[in-house]
Amino acid sequence: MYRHMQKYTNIIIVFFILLAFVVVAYRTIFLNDFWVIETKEELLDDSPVDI
Amino acid sequence: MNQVMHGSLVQVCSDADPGIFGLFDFSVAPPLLYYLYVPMLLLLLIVAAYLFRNQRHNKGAVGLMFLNLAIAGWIVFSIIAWIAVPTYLVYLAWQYTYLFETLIYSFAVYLGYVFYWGNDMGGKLKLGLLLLWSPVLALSSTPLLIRYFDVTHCEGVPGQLVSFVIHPLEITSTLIVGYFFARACIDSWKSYKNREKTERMLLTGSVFLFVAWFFVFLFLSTISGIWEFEVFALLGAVIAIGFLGYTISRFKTFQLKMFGIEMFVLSLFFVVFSMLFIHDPNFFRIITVITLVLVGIIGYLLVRSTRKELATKQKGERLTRYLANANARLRELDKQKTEFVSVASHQLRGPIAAIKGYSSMIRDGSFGDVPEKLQEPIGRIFDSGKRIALMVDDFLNVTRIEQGRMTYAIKRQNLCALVMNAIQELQVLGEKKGLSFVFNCGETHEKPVWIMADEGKLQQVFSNLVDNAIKYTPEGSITLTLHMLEEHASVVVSVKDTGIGIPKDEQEKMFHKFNRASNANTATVYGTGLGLYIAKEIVRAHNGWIHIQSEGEGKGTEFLVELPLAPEETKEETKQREQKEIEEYKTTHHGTAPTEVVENELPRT
Repeated sequence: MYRHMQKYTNIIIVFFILLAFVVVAYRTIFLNDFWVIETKEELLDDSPVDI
Repeated sequence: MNQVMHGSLVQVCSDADPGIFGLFDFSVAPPLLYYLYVPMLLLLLIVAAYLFRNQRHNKGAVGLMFLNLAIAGWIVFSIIAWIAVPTYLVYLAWQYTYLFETLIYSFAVYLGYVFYWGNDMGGKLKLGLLLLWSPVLALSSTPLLIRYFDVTHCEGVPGQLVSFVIHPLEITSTLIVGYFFARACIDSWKSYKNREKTERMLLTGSVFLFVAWFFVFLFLSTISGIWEFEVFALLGAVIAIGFLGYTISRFKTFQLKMFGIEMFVLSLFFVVFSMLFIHDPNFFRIITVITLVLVGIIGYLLVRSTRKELATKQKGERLTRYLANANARLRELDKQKTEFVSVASHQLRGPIAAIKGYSSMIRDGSFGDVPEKLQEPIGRIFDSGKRIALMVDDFLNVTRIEQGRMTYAIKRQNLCALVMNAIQELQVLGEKKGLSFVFNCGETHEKPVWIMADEGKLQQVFSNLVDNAIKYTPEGSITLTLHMLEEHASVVVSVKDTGIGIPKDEQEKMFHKFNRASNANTATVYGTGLGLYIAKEIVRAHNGWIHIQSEGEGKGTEFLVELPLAPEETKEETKQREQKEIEEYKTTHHGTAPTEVVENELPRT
């Protein structure tokens, strides 16, 4: 089993790396799943941020 | 809260114009970005392509190729993060930059491992490395990587993943590579001047230089918010990558000093080039300091190596002059020696002829009867005189050969008759010793074998070979055979004896001057060790070849002399030659013509 896995180690690694890139691209471009603020200085304020 | 909005609500960064296709605005980024990032990107891609083309089977080179591609990806998305207009694209570029950073450090660890251990990383370790970075891969699409997107500054605000996972992992990776480098340094230090260990040290060292440099400047850029630090991070990367690529490809012809100077010059070029685009006086000062340091190091290295090289060159010139003088002196001495031997030999000839002549006459009774008790001493005087005469002839021949003064009167000769004449006297000597003598002209007996040769010189060769055979054969036989080699248009004369033989390792040396076989009894058997040398030179002058064959001590010896056949003669040429021979005969025999010339009837013994 392990020998079998070792043969495909490189493919497994490349798969996970590509998957991460694809998921990031999908969520960002198609789902627009990220938060935008006017300026990061706001974060320095103590006021609570309501998401 | 209207401060925080979903990404889809804001489409463009507030400070950007809708540039090309509404995606990119090239005016936003400072010119330095294009002037430094783009050439570096090209350089990285060129090195990657070169490694892919030429070093595909080298694990280290493949690792370096991927590292190059990861850095290239990082540069591309850094540029996109600057010039992209829609927020989603800038946001994506920010995330991808972190992902590429992950890859850069992973490949650096992989490279450090491959360079240190000299082989590929095992599957378990590779998966371990993947596991180490898996939180980054898994969580990269969540707000843990980029918490918010600052639309005013058009940049991401890094999340907890960056502070608590990415930066610690980057430090860990740098330390792992540093560990490989430290071990390689210790190994190299322990085995002084071991080429392979030095190579490992340089390779792991350059990977360490790269990750440490890259990490420090990126970290400085993050905490200080000064973007220009990123440029320095890349500068180090390019120098280290160039260093690595060059080391991998060229290590076999690697000259450390020269290479070091080349690398310094390259980095100096980059640093000075970047000064053109920096207007900030503080940065200008930093870069000037770096330039000064580099110039100092390069200058020192150049002066030192030039001084060393000059000293070596002067030493070499002195040695060359000395050797040339010594050589000229040796030539002069050799010439004087040859002349001395030549003169001495000529001077010896006269007295020796007198000794030989008078002792022979006394022995034969020309001066009256010789008392019996004087006959033996006189016989010895005669024999010694004869030996000295032969020795002097050998010396003179060697002198002539060395001075290139040996002349050959080449004529068409019947080889069988020539050999017969050469051995006639010796045959009697051999038979007296109790040796049986066989001379076999073979198929050549039916038809004369013509060769182009100097009769006297070639006779000397065969009489020498037969004389040796008699001297070194205590009992048994001596056989002379002629073989035709039609395919080579040549004839081979074999002189074979059943004597003491020659050890195999000495056979080649037998044709050297003053060389005699170790088993030859030099005390009782007379010889100068020049006979075979002269024979070889004479045969070579006839475009022939002489070879020795012996199965070893006590197993007899065979000498093979191969000579090229003479070209076919036309009837007219035969007639002319025969006429000339008759005239020569008349001259030497006071005008009497030969009664009969019988060429083919040679006695068989």
